[in-house]
Amino acid sequence: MSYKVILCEGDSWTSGDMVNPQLEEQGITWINDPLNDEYRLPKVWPYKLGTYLNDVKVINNSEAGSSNDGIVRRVIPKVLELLKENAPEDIFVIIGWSSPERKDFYCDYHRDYLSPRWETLYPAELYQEQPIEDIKKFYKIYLKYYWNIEEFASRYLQQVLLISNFLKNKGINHKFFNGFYDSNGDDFDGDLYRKYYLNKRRGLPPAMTPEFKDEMEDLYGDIDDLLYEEYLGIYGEDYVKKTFKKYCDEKEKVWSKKWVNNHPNERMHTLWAEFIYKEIFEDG
Amino acid sequence: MVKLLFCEGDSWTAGDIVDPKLFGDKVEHVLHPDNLQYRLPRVWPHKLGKLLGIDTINNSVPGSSNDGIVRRVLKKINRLLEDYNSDEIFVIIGWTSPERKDFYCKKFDGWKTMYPAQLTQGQLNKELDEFYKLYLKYFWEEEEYTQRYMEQNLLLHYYLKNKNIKHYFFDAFYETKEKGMFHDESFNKFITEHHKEKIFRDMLTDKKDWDGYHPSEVGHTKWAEELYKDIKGML
Repeated sequence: MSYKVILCEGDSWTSGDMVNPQLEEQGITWINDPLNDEYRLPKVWPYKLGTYLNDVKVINNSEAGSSNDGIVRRVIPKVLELLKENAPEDIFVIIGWSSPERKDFYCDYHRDYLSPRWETLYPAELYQEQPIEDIKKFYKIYLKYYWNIEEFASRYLQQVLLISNFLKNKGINHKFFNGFYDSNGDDFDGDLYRKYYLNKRRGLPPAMTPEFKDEMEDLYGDIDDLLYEEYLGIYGEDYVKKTFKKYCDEKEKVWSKKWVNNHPNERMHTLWAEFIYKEIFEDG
Repeated sequence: MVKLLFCEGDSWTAGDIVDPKLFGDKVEHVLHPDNLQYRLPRVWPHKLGKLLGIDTINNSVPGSSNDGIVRRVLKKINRLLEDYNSDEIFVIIGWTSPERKDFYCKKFDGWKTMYPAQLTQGQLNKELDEFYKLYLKYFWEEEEYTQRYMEQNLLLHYYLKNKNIKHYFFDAFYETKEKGMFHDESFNKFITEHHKEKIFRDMLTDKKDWDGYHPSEVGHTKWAEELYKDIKGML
């Protein structure tokens, strides 16, 4: 099957985490700065995937640091826009989902210097620079009381159901993968959370204090079993069965040869593009 | 052939009616099991089911947010499909205020609904009270709840459509259209195609229809008859 447009969405694992050194010298560090496109886009997997396909326009609409909330907000209008000029069978959508824990809030606390906008909270980082004291408090209370697998698992399942059913209904072929977060049938349960704690992931306390141990006792999640089965059905049908991260770990054992700033380097993007091509397109 | 009417919503679908012999005027007992037999026949879902001559499940919860409605629909539909074919189920959703927002708090037994429009809401401790106030001050924004409402509508519409389940949506009391919430042209089209144009509250024109907050049994009867006109040809 031949396509005219491939829409790629995701976070930094799809947008790339690369800034042109010349721009950095000028103080430009925002990955999605349009001035950085010429440097960044050819180095990441969507563009490289396009080189395997004839006469296909690849649109990399991803944003570094994006949550899945952001991905959903961008995919729906973009697909509707593409449908104005393309037949559904000419469009293919690939989504590299981000960490389900990331959560967006719309705020106008930047009112003094920025327009109101969507802000992403990164609970798994445990600490996140915030512009004002009130927001620091808000973030801290969110982490203490509301950062729960029930919330982000429920939200992730709903997002996958929404986009899968939306695209299916529009007659648009699509594939999903998880960038770096394991959320397949084996891993996406309460145990995932415990594993993160045990691995002392990103900024977690060095010692297992009694308080921390108490908190861990309460980590198992409770996901509706039939809804979860439904997700597994979509996972079986729509997903590439490997995270980008796991793929990189299998291909390269030496840390410095695969990651730059905890993100895939250009070589890994090249290999992933080849893998995605074979998984999705090679057999038509 | 539709055999089951499945209804979801907030108190405008659950009914805010208590048996005066058992509970006086204490509406906080609305979900008491002893109130079930009194309440359910008096609200629009069962009245509509009677008009259509089919069984009814009223799965709504007073005070619910749309977040809760979505969670319950997704959970219940898969269970109904164990007993019914998809073409035997008709779903009606009475959406509530999009501003209501749920947070999951394990320490306090699960999902809690935040009601920003109330401006004050008793919270379970000081920190959560502070969170509520900060949310109102910085994050209670039309862009957020409009986006969430659109995604929830699209989620349930495409989910039900792909399962071949007929469905119909309406807004119970929140004037989404009058407030000009939807600047998105395609969503406006969606609303026109899949939502009842009139909201439940617009039907309550007389004192005997409602108490200023919730429909009376008379109001529920009017709404059931109104929905019947729309739905009888869709079964």
